[in-house]
Amino acid sequence: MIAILLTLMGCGQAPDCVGHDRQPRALRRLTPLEYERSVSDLLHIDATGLAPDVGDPVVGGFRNDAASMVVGPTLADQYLVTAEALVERASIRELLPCNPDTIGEEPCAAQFVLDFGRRALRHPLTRPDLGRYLRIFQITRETATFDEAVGWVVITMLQSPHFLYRSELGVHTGGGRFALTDWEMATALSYTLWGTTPSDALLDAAAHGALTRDEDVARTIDEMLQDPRAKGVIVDFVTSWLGLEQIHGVTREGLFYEDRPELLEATQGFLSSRAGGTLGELMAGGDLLTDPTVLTVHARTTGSSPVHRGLLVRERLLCEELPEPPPNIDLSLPDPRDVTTTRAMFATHATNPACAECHDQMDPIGVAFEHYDQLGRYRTEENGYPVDASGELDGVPVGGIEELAAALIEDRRFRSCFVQSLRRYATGMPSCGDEVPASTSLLEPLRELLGGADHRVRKGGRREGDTLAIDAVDI
Amino acid sequence: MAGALAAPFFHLLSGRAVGAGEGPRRLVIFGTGNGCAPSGWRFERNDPLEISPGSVLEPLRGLESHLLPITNLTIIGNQGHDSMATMLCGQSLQSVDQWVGNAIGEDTQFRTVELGVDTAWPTSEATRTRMVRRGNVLVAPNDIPKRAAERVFGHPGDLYLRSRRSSALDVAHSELEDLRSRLGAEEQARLDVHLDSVRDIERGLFGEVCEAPPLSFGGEFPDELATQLDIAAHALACESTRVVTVQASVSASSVRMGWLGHTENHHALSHQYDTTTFEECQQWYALQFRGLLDRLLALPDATTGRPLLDDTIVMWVSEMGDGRLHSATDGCWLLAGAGLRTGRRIDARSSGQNADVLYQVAQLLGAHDVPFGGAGQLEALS
Repeated sequence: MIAILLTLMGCGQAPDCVGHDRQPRALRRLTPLEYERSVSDLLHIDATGLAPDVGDPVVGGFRNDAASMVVGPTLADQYLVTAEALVERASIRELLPCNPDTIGEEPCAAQFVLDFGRRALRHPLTRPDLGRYLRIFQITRETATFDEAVGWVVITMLQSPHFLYRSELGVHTGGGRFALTDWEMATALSYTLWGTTPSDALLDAAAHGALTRDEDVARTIDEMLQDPRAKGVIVDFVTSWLGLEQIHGVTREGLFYEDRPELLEATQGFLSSRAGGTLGELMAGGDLLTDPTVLTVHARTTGSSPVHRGLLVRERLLCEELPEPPPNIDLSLPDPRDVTTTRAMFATHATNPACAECHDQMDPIGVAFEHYDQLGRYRTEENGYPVDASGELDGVPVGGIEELAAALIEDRRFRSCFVQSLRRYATGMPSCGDEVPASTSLLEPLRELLGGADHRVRKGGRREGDTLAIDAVDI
Repeated sequence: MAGALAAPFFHLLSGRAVGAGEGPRRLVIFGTGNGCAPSGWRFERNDPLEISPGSVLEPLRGLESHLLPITNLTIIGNQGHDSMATMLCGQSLQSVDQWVGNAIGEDTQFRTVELGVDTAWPTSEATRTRMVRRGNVLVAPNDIPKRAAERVFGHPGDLYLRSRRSSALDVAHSELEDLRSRLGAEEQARLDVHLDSVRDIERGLFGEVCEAPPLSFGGEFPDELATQLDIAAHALACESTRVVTVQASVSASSVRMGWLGHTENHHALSHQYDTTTFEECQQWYALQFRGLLDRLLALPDATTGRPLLDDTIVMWVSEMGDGRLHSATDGCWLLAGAGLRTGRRIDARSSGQNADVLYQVAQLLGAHDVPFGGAGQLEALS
């Protein structure tokens, strides 16, 4: 059993991980966060908290798995009513590229369809597209005001699969290889580096062929990485990587409901201050691992948890998966009144061979966090007994979190796990990670992903009519 | 509009429809997670059934003649909490409600209705938060009672809004079909779920509108669950659907039943050595199941005038037996209603699997020969 376990764990990478040069063609449904930012940008409103969210599954530790993000009945319904509510908040007049009173209602509506349509659907509209959306305007206008009729065009576009999914289908270039179009490239750059829908400037670049050549793409990436939104993507990533959104759902003794948003906000502020730096700087001083949100999420209701914290390091930071507890093992803890410290409470994990098999992979790391309780408050004693935070990371003794953070940054598994996880987050698919030095900028893997060799290539089976016909209407 | 309603992607999976008067013709599944507290399922007598006072099923005492508890049930493919996503599928690609909905729901507004309370846990794996699987894709239930009610009971009178929505969905529909033709099989399956969902809403917009019962919205977990159960019962009463699932929270659920005076959450309690408090949780769920049966006894079938329960199979399911052990050979499911030989307990020890229950239930409801993958050793439910 131990041998099997070690084989499972020794791999350090998901066995079926996908390199950035071998990504499959995909349609990726927008995450709630991407939806929220996209509609905010498109409609010039603040849509914070308004995105439909039916609780997408966590796969591989992240909540944006391309293969499992579907639009079921509940979500389809919410997309509809949400779009109606969003349009009520928007000023239609502000979104119009023309004045219906001067050029006439229908010509202006047509201009709007082409202009807003390109922004919302992220590609130029074809003649049939124009016809379909203009028809929505016309039939609505029979019984409603001009603004309402335009509003229903917007609502309709927000139901479109071209809005709801990021297309990475590409065009067939032979041999089962597909290449992203410039429009898809603009979309990939924008969502990956800025977390939102492409700007007009980026869409213009796509329209003018300024995203066709690799050097143009590389230059665009450089420019986009200078924008604060790129750091925001790193903040979002680390928040997901360490499972910090869980703060909204956990029950912890002493944690009040209203404290949670503030706690996460403080953590994200801290992450933001380090997001422009290197991997080594992110881990410096153990500050990330002693962050109150990190420690509160990874704890038990009534106390610290060497198991959960060890698991955080093992699975999230080293990308080594541990199996679920096997069936028919009694998982209940000893009566807390019978034990002195948390460390002592979990001691049986080391002495009982059935537990030790797996817990040897977690608890010795997790005890290094023992100076911090379930809310991340520092303590030197627990129940009147001195805290012992001496732990071990696979043979390397660590006397507390600062040493643990230092050991991690020295560990090539951690440095490749960071890359693997960031790619997983950016692509929504199982990804490989190459080891990088601690001096690597946190944003560097994204540059490599989008601008490296074969960055446009997608693999997949060929189907009839797989080329997106761009019979665009001139605006 | 009519054309948009046609395209039947999932009809390939359909079985034969069952008409009125030929046995059970409705299915309701109530799902909860973290196991079923098997030690709390205690009975004075197995046949005729008598539930022990103080046991998990105590709230159902007096209704024994309608009940068929199955204990020591093996949940095949045990994966602990992740069995949530397979317990209703067995080895088939869909959950039993979907198979049955395809078989008997074609002429209703909604082939199936998925309701839930507190199932959108952002931190859980999908296999712990979803029990319904359609065309091999896990489907999220509708967690917002107000929205669920609007979908199921419609917006009577608001023809303008319904027409606008219908036009918007029409466009989405044709774009989805265009896009679908450019995809590989796996991606197609996902777009099919989307298409199917759009079609569901379209059907809801122009089907016969049921009269909405008086419903209260908002409140805490118990209030929302009560409202969802009201919606479920009334949707069945007005025949807008024949198949409803109601999922109360998720597997590894962190729902804390403060109204019972509990300070620890459902999952934490499921792992305590002393099962008393966890049994209280399960007893509370049994009370909700009782409430569901009471609703189905009180509401008449539109055609026959008899209580809905007379033609309905009702199930309470969970993904494991003893939550402390994540065990899979001591599952306990509760069946109730029509077409079953009720008023007794089946001890399925060493012979019965959840897949057999699914198979027999589907069979009774007209979804024939579904490959749930059971060993077929469970005694007859009917």
